[in-house]
Amino acid sequence: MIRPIGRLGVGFTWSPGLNKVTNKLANIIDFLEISPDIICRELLINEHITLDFSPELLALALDATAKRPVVLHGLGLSIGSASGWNEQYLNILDTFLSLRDVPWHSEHLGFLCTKRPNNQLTTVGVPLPLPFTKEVIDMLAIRIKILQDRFFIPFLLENTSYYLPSLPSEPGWDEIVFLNELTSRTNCGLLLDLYNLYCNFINQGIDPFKNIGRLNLEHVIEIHIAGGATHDGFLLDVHSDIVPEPVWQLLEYVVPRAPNLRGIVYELLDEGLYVVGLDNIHDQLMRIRNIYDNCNFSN
Amino acid sequence: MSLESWQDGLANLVLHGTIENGLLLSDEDKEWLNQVKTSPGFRVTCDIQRWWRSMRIRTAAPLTIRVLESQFKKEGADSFINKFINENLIFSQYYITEALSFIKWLNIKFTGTNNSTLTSIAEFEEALLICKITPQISNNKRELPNKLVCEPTARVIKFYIDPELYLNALLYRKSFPVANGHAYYIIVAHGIPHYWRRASDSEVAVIEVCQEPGLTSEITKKFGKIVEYLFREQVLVDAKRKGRAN
Repeated sequence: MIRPIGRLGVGFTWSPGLNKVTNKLANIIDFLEISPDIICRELLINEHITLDFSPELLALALDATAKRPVVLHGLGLSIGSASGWNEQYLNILDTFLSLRDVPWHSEHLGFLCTKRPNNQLTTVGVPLPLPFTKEVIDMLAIRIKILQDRFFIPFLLENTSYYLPSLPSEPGWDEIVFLNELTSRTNCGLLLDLYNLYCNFINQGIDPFKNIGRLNLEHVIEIHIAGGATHDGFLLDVHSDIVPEPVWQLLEYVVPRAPNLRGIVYELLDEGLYVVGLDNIHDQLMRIRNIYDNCNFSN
Repeated sequence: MSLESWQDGLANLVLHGTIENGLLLSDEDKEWLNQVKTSPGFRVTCDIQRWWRSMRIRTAAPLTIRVLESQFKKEGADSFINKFINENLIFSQYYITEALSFIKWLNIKFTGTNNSTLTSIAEFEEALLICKITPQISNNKRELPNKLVCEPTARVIKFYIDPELYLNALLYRKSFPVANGHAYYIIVAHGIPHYWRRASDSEVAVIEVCQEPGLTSEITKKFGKIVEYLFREQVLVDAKRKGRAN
């Protein structure tokens, strides 16, 4: 049985490089989000590389989360790989979940692992998007069930940014329809990354405000917001800046309409700290708080 | 369209720029890939992959990158990284593994050139990285064992410039020391604090001899107390335990 979850509030991404920031802003951050990948290290054992937690970084992460809730947001599971997901990553999750109670965990809706013509497994490094098809949903449904049976906490999938045109789709399906089908046909929650969605809409020439209303918000458990950069005319999701105004407007639209929303995270990479600065991070978090606290959640 | 073949086709196109002949792609897959590969979004997708690989190398091999930048400026260093990315398949999600591959490639490029500082720093960083990812074999007993051998990750790196002065200048962007014709040695091994220190000529000789297992009594007779000291630092380990990590 999946454990029910309470509301967490305002969250921030944690990394070793942002530890001082999260300490300084502790009184306005309700929970932290950690990607297990960034506190792992490679180990060469019997000529094979395996993944394990770095003892120093794990200790730092556990210390940072000793007095407030933490959720996990993974990168390395490759849940969308048709040739097989990264089972070693499940052991990483096992370890962390044995050390900390985690209200929910999430992953990116994409694929990393794939095959060369000689059947050698390889990785693409940064997740590539999935087509909007029933085959994808059928595959994900099986893996989502495995995760839920293994960990007994809610699992969320995050919509990712992508730059490729005309992803293969079922007739009449676009990203919104795909996300609705995914959440209604599986027992998976949605980590709605509003900045990713905004980037995808803008990059494809779609009006975000005319289309956000089509998304079924009932399954939204967590929201990510962020700011990024522009490259070759495309908006990039690089978590390196303050949140742009249209994304704040999308957040203000979504929050009161997402009855099961449990937390909102401002995402920032270490490198973004020098661009944004502590004062602006503070302001971003306070603005999230104002939106979140002003919403009269019924549960 | 099969999801697996579509993913294999897309990944190979992004990573290598070609639609691979050896993959089982449907006509539908090939048509889509041919359309996509000329799109601006495809170029951005490839750029992102490239930036990520470059970032990994810069993060995991900072000393080697600093030397490259000091010798060839940032543009030159970027050029080497891009060349490596173009010539080498990505096979690992892991930072250090990719950095080791880059250092190996760079050392091959500069072997036989007059750039001993770059190759020495690259070898030094390579040895440090290997220490980081290899479990340590420790000496459980305090007394010297019957046979000794070098710890598998222990390495001696030769410099033709004072390495500590050079590293200090590299890290703090000061003027580099000048080569004075002397050879300097650094030992890198798990048991040494921060994995490295200067090595004496005698220590280098001991490590050379102990590349193969040898009787402790004979090694000690020849080299004296430094053998015990290297054992305490776990540069030398019990020959019976080599290959069995903690």
